[in-house]
Amino acid sequence: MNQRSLHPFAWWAWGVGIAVTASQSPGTPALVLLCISAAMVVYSKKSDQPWAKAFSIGVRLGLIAFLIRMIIGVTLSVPIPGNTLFTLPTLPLPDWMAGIRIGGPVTSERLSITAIEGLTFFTLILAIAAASALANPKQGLRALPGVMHQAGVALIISTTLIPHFVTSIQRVKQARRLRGDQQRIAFRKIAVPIFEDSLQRAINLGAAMESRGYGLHDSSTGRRFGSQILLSSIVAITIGITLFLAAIEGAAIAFALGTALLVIGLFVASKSTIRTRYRPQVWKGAEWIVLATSITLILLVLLENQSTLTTSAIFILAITPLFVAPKESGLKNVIGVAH
Amino acid sequence: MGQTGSGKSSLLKLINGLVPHHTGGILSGEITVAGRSTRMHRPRELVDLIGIVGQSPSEGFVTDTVEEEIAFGMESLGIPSEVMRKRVEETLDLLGLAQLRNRSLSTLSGGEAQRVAIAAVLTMHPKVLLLDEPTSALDPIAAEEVLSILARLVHDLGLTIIIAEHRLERVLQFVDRIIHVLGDGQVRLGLPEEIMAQSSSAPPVVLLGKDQDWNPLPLTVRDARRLAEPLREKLANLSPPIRKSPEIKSLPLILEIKKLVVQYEKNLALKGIDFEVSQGEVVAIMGRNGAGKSSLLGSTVGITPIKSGQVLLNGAPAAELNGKALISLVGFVPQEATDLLYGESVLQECTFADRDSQVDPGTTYKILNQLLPDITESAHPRDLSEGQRLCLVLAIVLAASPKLLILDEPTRGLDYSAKLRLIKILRAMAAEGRSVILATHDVELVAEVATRVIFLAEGEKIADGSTLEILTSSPAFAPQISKILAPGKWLTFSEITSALEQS
Repeated sequence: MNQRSLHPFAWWAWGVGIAVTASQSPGTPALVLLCISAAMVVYSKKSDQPWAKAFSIGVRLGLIAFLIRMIIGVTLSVPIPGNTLFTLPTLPLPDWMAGIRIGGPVTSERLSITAIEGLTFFTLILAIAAASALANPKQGLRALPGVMHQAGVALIISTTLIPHFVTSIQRVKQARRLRGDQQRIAFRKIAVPIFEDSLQRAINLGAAMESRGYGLHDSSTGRRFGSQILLSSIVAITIGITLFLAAIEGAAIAFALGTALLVIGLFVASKSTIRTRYRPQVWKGAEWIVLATSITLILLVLLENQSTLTTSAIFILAITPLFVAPKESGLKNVIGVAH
Repeated sequence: MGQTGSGKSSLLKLINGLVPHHTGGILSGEITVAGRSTRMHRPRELVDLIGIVGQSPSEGFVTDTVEEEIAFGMESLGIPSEVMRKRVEETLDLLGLAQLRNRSLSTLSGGEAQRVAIAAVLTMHPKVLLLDEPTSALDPIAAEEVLSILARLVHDLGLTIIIAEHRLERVLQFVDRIIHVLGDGQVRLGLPEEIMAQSSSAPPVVLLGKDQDWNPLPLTVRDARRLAEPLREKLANLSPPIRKSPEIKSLPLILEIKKLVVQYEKNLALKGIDFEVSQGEVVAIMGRNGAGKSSLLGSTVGITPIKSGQVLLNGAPAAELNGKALISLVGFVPQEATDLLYGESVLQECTFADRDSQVDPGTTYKILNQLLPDITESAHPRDLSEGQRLCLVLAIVLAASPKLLILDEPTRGLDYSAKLRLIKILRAMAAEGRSVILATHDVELVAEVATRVIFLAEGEKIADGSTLEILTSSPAFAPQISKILAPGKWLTFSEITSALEQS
């Protein structure tokens, strides 16, 4: 029984693949098929863990985005000629806003263009929601390079602190009842015990982490050097994006430089933290297949024109995880016998 | 061992260097562990030698599942992944945690959390294990489990274990030596017999042994039973003093609980509980961790939402009472007594309480003075010792002179002298005609004060009867004296002394 879960990064590659495909206007049938494949994969592979709910939240969010896009598209836009279906009353606008119109005639062309754009939004949101519903966020954090370890630990601690915070508010409220305190405004009486509680908890946690060797092997010089390289890589990539968006030459060079710096920085920083990983997540055949289909999907939509053939190819590629990925167990990496 | 606030926890933290590295302070003198000085090494550099488990282990959890928590320390040490895997499996087996490996840490019971915390430090293969009150929050059975695992670790791994503990009756049978922290900065180190012979605070078995001049002084129930034959004969003709149990039928009911059901999401915490408490009764509620004790107590003051059933305080539904009307009927001391405190000094707390209970200014302080004559009124409530804080909360609650007093785990963190004071207070309250309900794991306390015991298991009431009858019928919950003198119906040391005096 191979009862493991797919590497979270593979799920993200799949989600990004669908999102990129959707953004390249592959045509309405392809968009619909992308949504269907995302839904099918999520419903057959998701676990019962809390993050699996991300998909249904994504659907609702997507619908809202779709509606808003439709409303804006119908009421506020540049005129598009075509068959006029009905005419909305026009709102007079000052002269300097010429070119924009609120209300006015609604053409069938405008409706269909807006609907396709709305659908694209919907698909994008759905793709991201599907990836977050399937990828185990805790494993994702654990799979991050060594330098990010501290950020990961901080995130996990903060997720466990929120429930504590809620219980401590409850306890303080109950205590006020038990003392028969009926004053209404009592910020101090509520806030002070909660802060004291949280502070105490933080101190205890710090002591526990200290006495369990947290941060034992961190050499600060190596890490500082590594983070400086990382910072410059982020700067280079940002410049690259800016150049790309402004359609100025040199974007590719900035991107390449940024990526190279990123790799070097991660390498240096990871070398300086001697930290090992307990039961690291494995990247095996299924992960490679999902990654490969996702890349093919993006290449296909970038290079090929819209046709029935490409549309069906897109659908088949988007739905591949259905056949290769194991069902998410929800449990932490239960590795099968093959390992 | 030592009194509350005497410095037991500080001593433990000194050994692994948390004092002074984490807490600050001035250290003079030298502490070395396997040749390494805590002066020169931070606690994180001593993890391969010392493991420490604090008073509330769940506050020290860093990750969110059992397995990751156990591996956390090793990841920081940079131990290769294969070695880690092997050590985690070994430790899971050693502490019997294999079934819990994928559980979320927040769902663990007290005993399980304690075992996970111990496992998490054991994977780093320390030579010394420091435990701060490992059993204080545990029911007798879970405590027994943790302690027997510790005993096995000592036998199997040759581990050195240092435990700070108030409930000596639980740990005395396992220890080789005692460090008695005297509280004035001095410590005394010696064999358990020596320390016990000199100490005034001791578990019932030692008190009995001292009183009867048994030689050698018994430390365990087993030792005492062997020596108890003459006493048993002497007591055979005497009968234990009848516990002052009020005529239940004749006195008015203060609390009625009818078919109470409490549900948290999908879990039924209480499955239809029925019972009544009349004036002047002292009712102890016992049962495993998670049996529903706290839910039951919470429902009597309306802080636990009720799914169905009725909770009537003096005839009125508890959840609908508020403010003065509530606190003049029922006084509730929660498990974390500090929850009730939000003032900045003892005096301020007393003024708040006077106002809330609408009594003459100074009433609370007067009560506090009776409970605790030597309290500094300007002290911050957080700086008080556990026992002092309990007295302060009791004073606040008693200011409204409630007819029913409810205590949830009152003896957690209390030493023997503070416990004795609490016992006196509770007896006095019962004598005044007030009722007391207490939920506790402390069998010795129950044996001393309770007139009636209710036993809960999995949200159901499985036994309800006189203290004597219930306590002697269950081996795990029997007090030491009754174990020694079985089949005689004796529960406490004071019963025996008063019976012997009268004869």
